[in-house]
Amino acid sequence: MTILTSDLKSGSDSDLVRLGAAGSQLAFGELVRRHANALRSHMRRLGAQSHDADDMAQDTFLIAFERLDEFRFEGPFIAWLKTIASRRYVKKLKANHKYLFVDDMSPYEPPQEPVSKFSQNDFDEALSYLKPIERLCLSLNLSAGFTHQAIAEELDMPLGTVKSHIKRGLDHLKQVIIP
Amino acid sequence: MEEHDLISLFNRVKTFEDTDVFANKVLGRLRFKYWFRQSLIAFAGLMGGIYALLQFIPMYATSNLSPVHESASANSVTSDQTLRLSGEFFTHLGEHMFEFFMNMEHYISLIQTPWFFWVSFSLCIIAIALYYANFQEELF
Repeated sequence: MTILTSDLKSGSDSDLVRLGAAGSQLAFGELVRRHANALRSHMRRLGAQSHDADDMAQDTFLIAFERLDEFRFEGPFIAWLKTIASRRYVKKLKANHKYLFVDDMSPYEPPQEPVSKFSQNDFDEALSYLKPIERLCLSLNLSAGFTHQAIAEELDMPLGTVKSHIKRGLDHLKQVIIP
Repeated sequence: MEEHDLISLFNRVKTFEDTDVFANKVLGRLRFKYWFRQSLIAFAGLMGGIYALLQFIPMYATSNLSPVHESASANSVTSDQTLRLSGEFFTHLGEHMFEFFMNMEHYISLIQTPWFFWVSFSLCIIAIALYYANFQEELF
């Protein structure tokens, strides 16, 4: 069966996933093009640096291709990708950046408070003024769609601590972003 | 600013100028992985085939090869110059192959021992188990 590029571009994610699971790299390529920007944005919002974020996004796509037959079509494909990417990122942080999970974060906090408020277009810059753990918890919650309980389990943190990080992060963002 | 506004900001997709480059990198790595895996399977098949073939070489035969080899050398002598030269060439080649085979005798004997089979079999199983465990760990 010949698959036309135009068919791929107009096909739904579900169709492309089915084709990809059957081994079509062309269909998977279309999925990559469709969701690459969203995943790369998500990785940066979690706190990954530019190159690292892109490498992890690439790895996520490769893993997703291997596991396409495990996608249950219960939610958007990008949500599934974000879940894979987030778990891998957290695992990497736990292995290499344990200091993020300690209580005293003062040595690792951003160097200065923002001098002015940010427009909504500068949202990503505003995020960089959050504490890394607050940013991570917020992104896992609001971007990847993890529940508070899921974040607590993923980060091996008490539920109350996760809720506090999220609340402080939200309050901070509400203050510095112009509505 | 309300929470739902923040959620929409979190889900706002940034635009990257190198989206096509990124997608091509992913597909390139995918193709390489596929190619590498196929090559590895072919290589494993080849090694397995060689191993299986080596089991069929009866080692006692090598000790009987010498007289055969000598008679073959004697028959290659002829009065015709061209034929003699080509005969010498093939005799020489035969001698080298014979030497090579004799040198291999020790290794072939080793490969045919039960412990070699069990050690290599165990290593293969461990490699497959490690690969599978790593594959499972990637996502969960």
